[in-house]
Amino acid sequence: MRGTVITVITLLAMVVALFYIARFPGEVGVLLASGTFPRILAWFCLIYGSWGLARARLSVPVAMIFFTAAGFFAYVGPYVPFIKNYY
Amino acid sequence: MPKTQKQIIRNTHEDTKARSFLEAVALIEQVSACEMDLPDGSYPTPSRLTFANVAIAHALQTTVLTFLLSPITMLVIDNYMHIFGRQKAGFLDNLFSVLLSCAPAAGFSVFFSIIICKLYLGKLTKSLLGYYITPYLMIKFLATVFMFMVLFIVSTSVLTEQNIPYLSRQISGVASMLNENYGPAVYNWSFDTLHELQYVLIKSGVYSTCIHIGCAILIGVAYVRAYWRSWLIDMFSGDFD
Repeated sequence: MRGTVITVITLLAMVVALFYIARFPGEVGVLLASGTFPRILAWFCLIYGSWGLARARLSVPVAMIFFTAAGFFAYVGPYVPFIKNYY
Repeated sequence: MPKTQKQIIRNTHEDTKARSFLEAVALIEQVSACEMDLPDGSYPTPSRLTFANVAIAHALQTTVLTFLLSPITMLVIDNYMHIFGRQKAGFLDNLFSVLLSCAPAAGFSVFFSIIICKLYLGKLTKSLLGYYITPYLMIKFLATVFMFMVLFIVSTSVLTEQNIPYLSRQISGVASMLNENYGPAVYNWSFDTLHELQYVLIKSGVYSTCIHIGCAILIGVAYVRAYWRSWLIDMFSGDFD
């Protein structure tokens, strides 16, 4: 049941996001350029890695990969070509 | 189940070392789950289960990682370092930096606390848990003191006003070997960075120590809760015997 709810919510979020992108392409460009996109990715990696460790859903190396990705988007991303355009 | 003197026969050549943190915890959980039904002496050699190696490795990993990441957090909080490309970090960015540095230690502690909370602490489980927790806490304490000392010594004895220009020259010398134009820029950058690092190292040591004290308190509270729950189970099951 919980899996179904999460899947439905994710699908709805995707539909809303696609609708927003199609309707307001200019605003999406501004949103991406203001650092929102890397922040979302970094927070997702941090929360998922922590949750995975705390509930033993992820092994230690996989959780560390998520933490490294979170650190990358937070500290290194602004200096990496192409990615730095999104900050 | 009647309490007979049956024993679980184990192969003497069987490897009793837990290969990972999760394996050790799983074994403790298994014993805890069936301990109420186990006859006395059915698990004759709990002391042969060696959890010390995984406990020590696990304690060292989380402690050292937190101490290595904490200076970055302090640099961000004191606005010396950019996060998400910004010099002045907002509240959420500071929170992200703090959570990232304490995530490995806190994640493990939450996991371990949740597991301990659900355990029935019989005589056997208590001894098995002791084989894990005792080296874990000892090494965590020693590693915390050691890493704090390292940060303190680096801040007060290595990164001094006399040493920082020398170290900056060495770093810029290495950079000049790659490209001569990099030399002055790298010197300025390393001079500033080493100064900033000197300011935050002791603070980050205190911060990391606080995190580990918090983790230890969390595990301690979980242990007390499990102990209390097991005591209640023993008391009520005694009424039915």
